[in-house]
Amino acid sequence: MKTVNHRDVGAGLLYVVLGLAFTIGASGYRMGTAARMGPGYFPFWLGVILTVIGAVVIFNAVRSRVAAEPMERWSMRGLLTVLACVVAFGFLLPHAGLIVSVLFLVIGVSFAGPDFSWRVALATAAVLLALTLALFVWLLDLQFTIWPPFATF
Amino acid sequence: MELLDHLALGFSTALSFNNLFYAFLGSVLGTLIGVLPGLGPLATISMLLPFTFGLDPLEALIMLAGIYYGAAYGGSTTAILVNLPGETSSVVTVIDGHQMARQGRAGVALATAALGSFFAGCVGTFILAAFAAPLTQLAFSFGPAEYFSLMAMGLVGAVSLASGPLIKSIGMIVLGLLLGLVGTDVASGAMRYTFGLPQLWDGIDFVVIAVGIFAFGEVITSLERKEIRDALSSPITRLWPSWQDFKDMAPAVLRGSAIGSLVGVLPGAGLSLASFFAYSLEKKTSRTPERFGKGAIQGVAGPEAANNAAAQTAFIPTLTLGIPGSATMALMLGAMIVHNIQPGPQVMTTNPTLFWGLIASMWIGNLMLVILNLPLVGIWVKLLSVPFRVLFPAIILFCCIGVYSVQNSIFDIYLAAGFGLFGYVLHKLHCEPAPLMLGFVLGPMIEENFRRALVLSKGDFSVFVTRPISAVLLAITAILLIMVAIPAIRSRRQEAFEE
Amino acid sequence: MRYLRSAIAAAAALLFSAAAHAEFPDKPVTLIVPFAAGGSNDILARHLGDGLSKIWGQPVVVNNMPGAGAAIGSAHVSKAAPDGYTLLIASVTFTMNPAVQPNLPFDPRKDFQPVAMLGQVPLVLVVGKALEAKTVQELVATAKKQELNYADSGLGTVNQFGAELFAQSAGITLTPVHYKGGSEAMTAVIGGHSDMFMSSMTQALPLIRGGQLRGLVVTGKERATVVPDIPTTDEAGIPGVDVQQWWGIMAPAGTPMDVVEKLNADINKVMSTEATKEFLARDAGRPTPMSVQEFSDLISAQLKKWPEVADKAGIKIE
Repeated sequence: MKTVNHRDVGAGLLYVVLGLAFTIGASGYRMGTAARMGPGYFPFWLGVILTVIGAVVIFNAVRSRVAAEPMERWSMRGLLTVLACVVAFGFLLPHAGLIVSVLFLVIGVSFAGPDFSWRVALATAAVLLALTLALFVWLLDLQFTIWPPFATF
Repeated sequence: MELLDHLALGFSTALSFNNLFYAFLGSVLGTLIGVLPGLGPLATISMLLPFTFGLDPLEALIMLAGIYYGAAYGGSTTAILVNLPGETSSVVTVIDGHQMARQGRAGVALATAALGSFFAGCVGTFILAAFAAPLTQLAFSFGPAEYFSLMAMGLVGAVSLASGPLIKSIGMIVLGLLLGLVGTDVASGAMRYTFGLPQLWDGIDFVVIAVGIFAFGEVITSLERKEIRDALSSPITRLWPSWQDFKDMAPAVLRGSAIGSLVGVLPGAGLSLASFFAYSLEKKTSRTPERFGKGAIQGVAGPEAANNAAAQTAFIPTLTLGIPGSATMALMLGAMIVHNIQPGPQVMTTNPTLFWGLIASMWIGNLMLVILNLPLVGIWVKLLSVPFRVLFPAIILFCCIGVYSVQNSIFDIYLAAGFGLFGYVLHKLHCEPAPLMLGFVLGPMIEENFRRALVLSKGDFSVFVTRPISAVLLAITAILLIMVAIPAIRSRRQEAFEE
Repeated sequence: MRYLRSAIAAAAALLFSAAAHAEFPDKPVTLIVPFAAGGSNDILARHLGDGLSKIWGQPVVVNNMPGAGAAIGSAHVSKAAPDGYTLLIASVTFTMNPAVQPNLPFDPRKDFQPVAMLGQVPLVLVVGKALEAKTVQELVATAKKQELNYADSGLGTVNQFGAELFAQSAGITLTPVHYKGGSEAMTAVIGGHSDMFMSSMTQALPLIRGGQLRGLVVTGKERATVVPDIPTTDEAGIPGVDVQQWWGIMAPAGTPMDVVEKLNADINKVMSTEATKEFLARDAGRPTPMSVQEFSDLISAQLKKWPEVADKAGIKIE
């Protein structure tokens, strides 16, 4: 069975959407002429080119049929867990200090991993925390908030 | 032979026990920090800089040289093992280096990088010592028009980075160019695509995009696909390069050293372009270009050699004029100023011990690195056999800290998470990230130099062809374009024919 | 949360002001450098920090917060508790940015209390092989006959303001060519791609000495001791080119005046030592201690002056 190349349709769509977004954004800046470009000229035309490329990619994908292959699984669990933990790390770092942030991040992302076990996750977190403190705080003396603010009183 | 006298002076200075010790210490620390994912050479050097403050100037410089090479080599190690480029120049190392690692040839790739870098480092140091003055002149002959033409050439070369469909990778280059434009427009001061966020005024940091797309994107993809995780810990087929490997890598290393030494002299563009040019050249001249992107050893040897040769000759404008060619160089220069050395045209004459001592210590730093790292290859490769569920939280953690440490900016962590999502989508759609990264680096430079050249010529487009260097570069670009286009058209016909 | 916290801090400060200030500082002081490590602000901040911590017996933590010109670090300090424990090392661009950048994340007029002036470095106008001019008079004569350009390290930087102020005072028009950073601009002038550069003395000195660049004129009234042969703009008959690179210390607005005065006195103590003089002289600078009032006057005068220069020269961000 032959079908359209879903992947390339997706890539083409991505190009078209981003190309249009950049083009529309660029129209807010002064364009100028090719010889005396304003800040809008370069991004405007690059955006147009990207949009056209996206259209060509979609066209090619629809025209040339390929052997059907099942669309890859999109695992929301790994994606969301990792990204959420990274964002939480960023939020916690100035508010709760390095120690809490590191423990949260390492244990948190471990949930997304294969064969989660509390024992391994805690051990990994402990080792990485010790390594982080030794390397970045003790050896390199980077400026971090280390303890949660309430613990310093 | 004046040069020999100078080198003799340099080595007699550098070969004291103390200086050797600091060269060693620098290489060890540089490698140790630089090998952590997310900590590129720039972050590594800036973190380790304070260690040198207490030393006397020459010792400090020698230790810095060690840190510099250690960080660069550590960066290549991360590129090969965990598919994460720490700086622009290792984007291409990732392409074939990580494929080799997945085929159980991580040891071979690391050894190739170490040996290639060492050879190129020797060549680069020699060129630095012998031809510093004429090469400085070369750097000055490049004005905005020449830089534009050089970047245009790099951009066309970028097409060769991809192994998938041509049109898709051109799209990625264009997308990269656009992402590179985020931030303050140098020519008009306009804030483009910053959404009122001061954190975006300086544009997006390379490390943020690299960590987002390569590290986070990669980890998330591996989480859902067992075969990728297994490939990482596939059994080591071979730790050391075979005789055939040596025969394959040698010409690539030679070519890479030559390109790197030349391009590295150019401030700004040099360091990032050297490895790209080397990769394009290897792929173009190879009789088996289809093997590139699937673990070709030339794809590691050429760019790594070019990168390291360029890292040497990049010191030329920094040392002879006090003009740094990259952020890393600016940091090295800052360190010299802290030690009361004002690099400039007089350093060679007023302080020959220091100048030649530094050059000798560069070579020693390179040697230390190869001595240190060849035995370490086995250990680095063992890291791959650490279970994935322990390895990936470590990668994410170090990446977060690395991203944060570049500018002490929480915003950058959030941004990297955003690019993680973007990288995952790209992965799913089989869009290759390497051309995007090159476009990202070249984008602002191309636009700036194009506009600057036209301001200087008062709007006359002929500057690009009336200036000889620029004209030659553009001619090469045109030839490359034709070479890229012909096979693409031919295969299109073939396809149509078969249908 | 933040408001609550600062309200409590303010109340506490009021309550215990006499007792607390007698022994300021009783905990580490943070000095924010709004640029990356290794630059002139950073190096000077570390020198000052060393000196202050010796006087106080308290550590002075130098923290780099680079980004957006100096806006990220400056914004951070403007929002910090006004207790003297978070300080900013600012430079001349602090007074220039508001002239060209309408949407800064802070108000340089209202959000800061000037504390102390550290030191100054004059600018020097350098030309490379693109021009034959040996003196500034020749340069001005050439500029009246043909269109000349100057390189700068970005729109609205001290180099651009210096060059424009020079052009306005000399009655000529110059075309700006923007480069990304001083190194690129300098390279372009040495290579003959751009005509001139109004450089900080620090950056240009080794190249003037090495003969790659010719220094035509130094800004201001006094000759620079490192290049005694180069005349000043005043001597060359181009008065009013009053622009210097300077560094100073700012605190958040609302910092108690007795703390500000103590800081000023201690900083001036560090800045007037021989060690500091030598330290700054290496980069052709000199310490220029001022009282709080003098420094505040200088800041408000410059905040008023640069928008006028920018207006006349048409420097504005699109």
